[in-house]
Amino acid sequence: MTDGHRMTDEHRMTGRHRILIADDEPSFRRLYEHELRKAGYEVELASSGKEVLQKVQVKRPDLVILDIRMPGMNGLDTMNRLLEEDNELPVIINSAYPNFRDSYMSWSADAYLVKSSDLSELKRTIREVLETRSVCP
Amino acid sequence: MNPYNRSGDSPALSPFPTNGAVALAERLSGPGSSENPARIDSVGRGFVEGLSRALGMGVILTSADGRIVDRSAVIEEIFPDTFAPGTRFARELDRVTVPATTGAPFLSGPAGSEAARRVLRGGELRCSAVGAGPARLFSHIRFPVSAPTASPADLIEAHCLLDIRPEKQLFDSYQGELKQLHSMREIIELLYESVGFGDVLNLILVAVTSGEGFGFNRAFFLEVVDGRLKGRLGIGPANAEEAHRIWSHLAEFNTTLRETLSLLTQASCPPDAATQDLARQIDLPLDPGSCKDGDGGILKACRDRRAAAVAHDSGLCELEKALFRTLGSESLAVVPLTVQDRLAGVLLADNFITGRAITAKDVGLLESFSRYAAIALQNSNLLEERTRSLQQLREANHQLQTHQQRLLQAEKLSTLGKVAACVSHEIRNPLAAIGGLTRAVLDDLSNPQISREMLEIVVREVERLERFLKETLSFVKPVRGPMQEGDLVEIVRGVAATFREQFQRSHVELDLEVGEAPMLCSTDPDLLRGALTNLLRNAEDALTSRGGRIRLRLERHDDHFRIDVADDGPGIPEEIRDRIFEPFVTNKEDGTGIGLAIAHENIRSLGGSVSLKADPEEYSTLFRIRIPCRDVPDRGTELSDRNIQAVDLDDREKA
Repeated sequence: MTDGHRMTDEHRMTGRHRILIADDEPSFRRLYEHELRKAGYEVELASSGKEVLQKVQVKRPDLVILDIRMPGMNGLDTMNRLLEEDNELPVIINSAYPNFRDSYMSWSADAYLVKSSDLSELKRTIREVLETRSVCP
Repeated sequence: MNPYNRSGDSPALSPFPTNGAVALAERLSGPGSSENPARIDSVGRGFVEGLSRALGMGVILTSADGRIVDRSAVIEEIFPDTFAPGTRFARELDRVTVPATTGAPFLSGPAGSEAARRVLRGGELRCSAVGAGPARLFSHIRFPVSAPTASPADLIEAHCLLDIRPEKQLFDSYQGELKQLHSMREIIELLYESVGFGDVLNLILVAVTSGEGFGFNRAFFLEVVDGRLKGRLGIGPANAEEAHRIWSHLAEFNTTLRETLSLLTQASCPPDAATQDLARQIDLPLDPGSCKDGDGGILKACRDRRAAAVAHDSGLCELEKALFRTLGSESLAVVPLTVQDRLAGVLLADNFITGRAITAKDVGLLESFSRYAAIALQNSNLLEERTRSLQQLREANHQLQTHQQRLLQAEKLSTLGKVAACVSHEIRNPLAAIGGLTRAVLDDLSNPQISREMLEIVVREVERLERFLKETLSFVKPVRGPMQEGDLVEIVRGVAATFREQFQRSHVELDLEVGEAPMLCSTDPDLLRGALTNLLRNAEDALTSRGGRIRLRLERHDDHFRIDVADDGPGIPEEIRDRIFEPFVTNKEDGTGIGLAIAHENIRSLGGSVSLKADPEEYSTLFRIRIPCRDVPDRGTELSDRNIQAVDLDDREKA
C-alpha cells in the first residue's frame, strides 16, 4: 500500500526516501549520515528515543532505523511507541547486541541487523524494506 | 536363645524344686518314648549336674539296686555326711529325716501341693512325704531317667527332695521378693541403657522369660497396627526338648540378666524361629464389635488397660480361642503397654512348657514392669523417628548443597556469558564505527575535509577502546600508583566538577557537602577519583529517566574520612544488594556491571572500604566510603613501588 499521508511536499519534490536514524553515539550518527546521504537518501538524525518520537511527527520519515541501547527509552520501547502511533511505519533495528534478535520485542521490526563496519548490508536491507513495503518516495 | 524359666532360687541352685522343675521332671518321666526325647540311654559324666541345674534342685541318681550312683554338687554341699555314692539311698534318706519315711503319697500341705498333684498325674512318678504328721520336712520325688527300653536291671532313678517346712516357705518367699526387686531394678536400668527399638523390645521379652526376670516360659509382643493387634516378636522354646536343651546349655553359665542378654546377642544363640513364627500368626482386631460373642479376657484387658491372667476356658470369644489354640497355651498373662492411656502394644506371656500357673503376683509384677517397658519403647520409637528425620534432614541438606553448587556453577557460567556479552558489545560498537568510518574515507579519498573529520572520529573511537580495556584491566588488578599526600576536599570537588554539565543536562541536582578547609590524606588520587567517578556515574544512571538528587558529602571522623554518594532513584533491588560489588552484576539493561566493582576494588587497594548502607532516610541508595586517616604519606611504600616499576622497565628494555 502507499503511505501517501507520510509524504510531505518536500518528498514529492525531491523524489527521495527520508530515513530517520537513531543512535546515541555521535560517531555512528556521523557515519550513517555520510553513507546514507551518499546512497541517495534524505537523512534525519536522533540521539535518543524521545528525539525519535518528536522527529517522526515533524519529519514524517519513510523508514526509521533504531539502535537498541540508548539512554532513557531504548530502541525496542521506542519502536513500540512508534508502532502504536502508526503500525505501517517501517522500522529496522540496528544494534551491537545480537541477542535481542530472538526477543519477541523485536519481532515487529521489519529487519534486525547487527552493527558492522560494512554498511552494505544495512543499505541493502533499507532498499528491500522500502520495496517490500512499496513505500513511494 | 533364651534363659527360659530356670526358676528356683538361682543363680544359687537349691536342692529343692519348684513347681516348674517338678513339671519338667514329669515330662521327662512320662509314658512313651516318642514324647520323651530327653530320656537318656546311659548316664554319662556331668549328667547329674546338668539335670540338677535344669530342674533347679538337687538331684540324686540311683541304680536298680537302690544304691546311689551320683549326686549333684548341691546335695553334697547341703548334706555333706549323707547320700555318698555307693550307699543305699533309702537308708541315707532315713538318716536325714526325722522320723522315718512313711511312704504315703503326699497330697496336701502348705506348699508344693499343686506340684505334687501334677507329679502324681505323671504315672510312673511317685511322690512321698518324708516325715509324716506335723514333723514332715521333705517331700520326696522320684522318677526314672534311663531309656524306657532299658532292662529293669539298668534302671536309673532320679530323686529330688522338696522342702515343705513352713519357715522354709516363708524364707523362700522373702528371698524371692528381694530377688525380684533386685531383678526389676536391673531390668529397668538395662531398659534405660538400651537405645534401639529392636533392642528394647528384645530386652523386654528376655526379662519376661528369664529366670532372673519374671520367669515365664514364652513371651510375645503384639503391636497395634490400624486398630489390630499384630504379633511382632516372640521368644521361648518351641517344645520340651528345646527347653531342656537350652536349659542344660544355660546351666553351664551362672549368669546375671545382664550377662544373659550379652549371651543372647551372640551368634551362637539362634533365634527361636518356631516361636517367632507363632508370633507372626497373631492378628486380633481391637474393635469390641468384631467379636460377635463379646470380648473375653484378652480384649477386655486391652480395653481396660489392665493386666490380667486369662485362662483358655474362661469365656473367650472365638478369635481369642483361636489365639489360644495357635499358641497352645493354657493360660496367658495379658499386659497392655500404655503411654498416657494410649495403647502402644500388648505383652503376652505363658508357661507353655512347665504349665506353672500364672499367679496374681506374677501379673502384678508384670504390670508394674509394663509401665517402664512402655515408656522405654516409646522413647526408643521417638529416638528412632528423630534419627530418621535427622537422616532425612541430612539428605535434604546434602541435596541442597549439591543444588547450590550447581547453581553457583550455572551462575558462574552466566556471569561468564555476561562478561562475554558486555565485552563484545563494548568492543563491537567502536570497532564497527572505526571500520565504517575508515571505509568511508577510503571510498572518498578525494575529499580531505570529510576524510579528516572521519579520521578524527576514528582516533576518538580508538581512544575509547583503549579506555575500556584499561578500565577492565584495572578492575582485574587495580594498579596502585605511589601513595602521596592528597587533599580529599580538592579531589572530591574536582570529580564533582566533571559531572556538573552532565547533571544539568539530565536534570540531576547535586547536593555537594564538602567543607573548604583541606583534608590531607595519604592516598592515590587517581584511584580515588576513579572510585568516585564510578559511584557518581552509577547514581546518575539510576536517575536517568526522570532526574533527581544526588548527594556527595565528605566528612572527617575520628580515625577515618567518610565520603557518602547517595541518590534518590528507585534503589537497588533486594536480590542483588549482596552482590552489588561483584563484577558484571547490574540491573541496568545496558550496564556493564563493572563500575561499582571498580569503585570497590579501588577503595580497597587504598586500604579503605565502601559499603551499601541499608535503609537510608532521605536517599534510596547510599554508598559510604571510609578511608583511614594517614596524614603522613607512606614514603617507604612509595619508594619501593617506584623501585619495582623501575626494575620492570629495565627488564622490558633489556628483553
